[in-house]
Amino acid sequence: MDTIGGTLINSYAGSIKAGDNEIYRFTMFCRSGLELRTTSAVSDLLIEGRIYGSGDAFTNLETDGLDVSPYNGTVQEFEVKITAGNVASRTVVFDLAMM
Amino acid sequence: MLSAKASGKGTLCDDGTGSGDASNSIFNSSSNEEESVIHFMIDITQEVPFGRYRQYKCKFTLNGEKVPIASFSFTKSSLSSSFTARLADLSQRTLFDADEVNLKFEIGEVLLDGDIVWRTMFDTSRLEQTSYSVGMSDQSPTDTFNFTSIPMFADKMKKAPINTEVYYDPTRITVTRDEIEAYYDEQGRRYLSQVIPIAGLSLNKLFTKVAEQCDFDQILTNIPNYPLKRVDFDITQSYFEALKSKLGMFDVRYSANDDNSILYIRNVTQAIPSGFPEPQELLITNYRSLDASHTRSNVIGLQVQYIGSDREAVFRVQRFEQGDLNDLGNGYSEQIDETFYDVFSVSFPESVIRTEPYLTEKYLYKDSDLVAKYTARYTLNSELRPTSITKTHEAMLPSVMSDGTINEDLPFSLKLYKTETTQIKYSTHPYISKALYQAEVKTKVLGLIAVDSENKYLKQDYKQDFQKAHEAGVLLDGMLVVNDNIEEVVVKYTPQKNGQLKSEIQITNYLRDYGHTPEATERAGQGALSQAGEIQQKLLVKLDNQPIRAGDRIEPFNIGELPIYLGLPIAKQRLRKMRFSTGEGTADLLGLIFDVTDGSTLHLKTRFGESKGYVLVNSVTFNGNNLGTDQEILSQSIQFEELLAGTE
Repeated sequence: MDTIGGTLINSYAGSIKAGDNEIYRFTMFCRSGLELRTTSAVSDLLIEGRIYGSGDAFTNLETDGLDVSPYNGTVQEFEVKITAGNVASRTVVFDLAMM
Repeated sequence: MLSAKASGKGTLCDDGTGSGDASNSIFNSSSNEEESVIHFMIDITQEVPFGRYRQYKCKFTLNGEKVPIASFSFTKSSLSSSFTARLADLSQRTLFDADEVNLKFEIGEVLLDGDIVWRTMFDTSRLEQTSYSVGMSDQSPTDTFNFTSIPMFADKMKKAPINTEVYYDPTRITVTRDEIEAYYDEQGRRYLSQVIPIAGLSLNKLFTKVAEQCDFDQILTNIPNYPLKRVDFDITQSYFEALKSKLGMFDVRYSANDDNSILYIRNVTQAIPSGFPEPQELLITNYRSLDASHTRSNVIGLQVQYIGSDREAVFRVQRFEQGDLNDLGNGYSEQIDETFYDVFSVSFPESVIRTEPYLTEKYLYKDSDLVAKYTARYTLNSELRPTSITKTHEAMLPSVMSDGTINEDLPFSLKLYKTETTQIKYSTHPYISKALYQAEVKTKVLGLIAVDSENKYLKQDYKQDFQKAHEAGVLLDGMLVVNDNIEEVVVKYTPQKNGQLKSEIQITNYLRDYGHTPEATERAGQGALSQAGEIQQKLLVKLDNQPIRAGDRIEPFNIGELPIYLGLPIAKQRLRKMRFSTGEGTADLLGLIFDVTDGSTLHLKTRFGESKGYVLVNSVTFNGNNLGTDQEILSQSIQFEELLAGTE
């Protein structure tokens, strides 16, 4: 497992056709007062997330962030939907974290 | 391209649809309380271009025998098409010497399982040209045999009548066979023309006739129907060309359906009704390249020339124009006041079709004193044409006492010395339908007459026109002045077959009590003073109320027999098209799209689904190169023009 400054980093590489979307699942530890969001603005991708199995609407993780206070102290499974814009081929990098 | 550097027990499953349970599971990242960050690296990829993996074949048959070709170019455009190809095997060029050379051309699509679906591009055609060249280059022969053939469909449009045929509407004009030249051949045989009356001849009837002769099941068009007076089918012209000549004022494109049973005649500046094929979408994935260019013109208006009939119902608006006082020099000044009737047609009440004078008054002043006055008053009939004109002349003339004698001691006074009354009678023109002409113009002149009883003429009192006698200086103190008829002029007009007018004039001179008829003379011309019936008229059409600026152009636009109420909207649409978009372009398609052919309407889309508007394909070209080799390639390109919104 890689770390940066003591923080665990997991990385994932994938491809999405322009205009298409993919959904990914992962688990993360939740703490009160934090929300799941991207660490910076992301262009050409729409990143949305929700608690897996909750049936809630997807929350935009770039602008709004997903509040995890209700799940304080537990490990939750999240779904993240990434939609690629209708753009020319390129590679986009971004980070998701509890902030 | 799925990879995951996972720690822990993640499972990877990817179906990409994004529904709940079947989503990608990356990894189980936190069974501990440490914070974690997930780093994503996403490649956005494009869809694989359509057609790259399709394969096409072509097959060329001459009189039933398969003839391999090395390359070809097949263009279809506006009902004419041509096919040019190069033979792969030169020894087969002798096949083209046969008397009858019937060519058939097919293109097939190779399916995934190896089957080929053949599509016939044309199966009868006429050989038009062959060319054979022999040469060397770099010690190898460059012999080639090329040929060009015209698919039979194009020949449909070249069908012409055996004899000259003239169709006419007998309720509007008369046509006799003698008027039309007969043809003779070298043996002296005469080919007479056919003159066929059809009451209510119209554009639709013309279409039906052409469809019959050219072997179409149907002609579909969005051109409005309107009456025609006469249609000529000459033996030197095909039926189709005769039809085209009647459609010159429309922006027309011709195309046909697949089996050439339906002819589409489309006016591109008008909306199309149902029955025409719907627009197809052409997406960016369908073409390799697209070039579109636009031309804007500085045409700001059209001068529409049409044949109007001013014998329709009319109404009038009176208009008074007061003249300015003009200085004529030597103390004289003149003012002319005129009252007109502007005549408008009821069916087209926006433009003045003619102006008729109603009252003209001329005043002559010397040093602000009125010294002469002339008035002309017109009486109009229900069609607003003059039927009578009364002219009065007043001037400063020697005073006349109550007993009628001239008194040279009294000052001159303004007096009415002459009145002219003109009566006009109209008749219908015998040779021009619905036209009127002035058949008789009778003018009676009544006025002051000076009677000289001292200087008699052949024992009679010598009578003179009082005003003319004053000018001649022959009035004497004490001379008697009476008010009586001076002369009468009657002019009778008779229209001749050759367009000239015969006029006969009879003059009665009351001063000498005799009448005089000069010989009847013939004069060229349509009518006397005013003519009725069908006349060429012009109307300026602009798109808005902008004034005309320097650099703007106005183009003439003749709509022929089309009635103005149909022609005006067509003129406006044409003007809009000329002014705002003459867009055209070309596109190279990916693969072969057989549904895109000449006459197709396409909805063009560029990147990101952006709509570039609707276009009409005017010509489509299929090319094949390096056939039979492993570099064989078949391609298709189109040439199109932009359609204005609302006309797709």
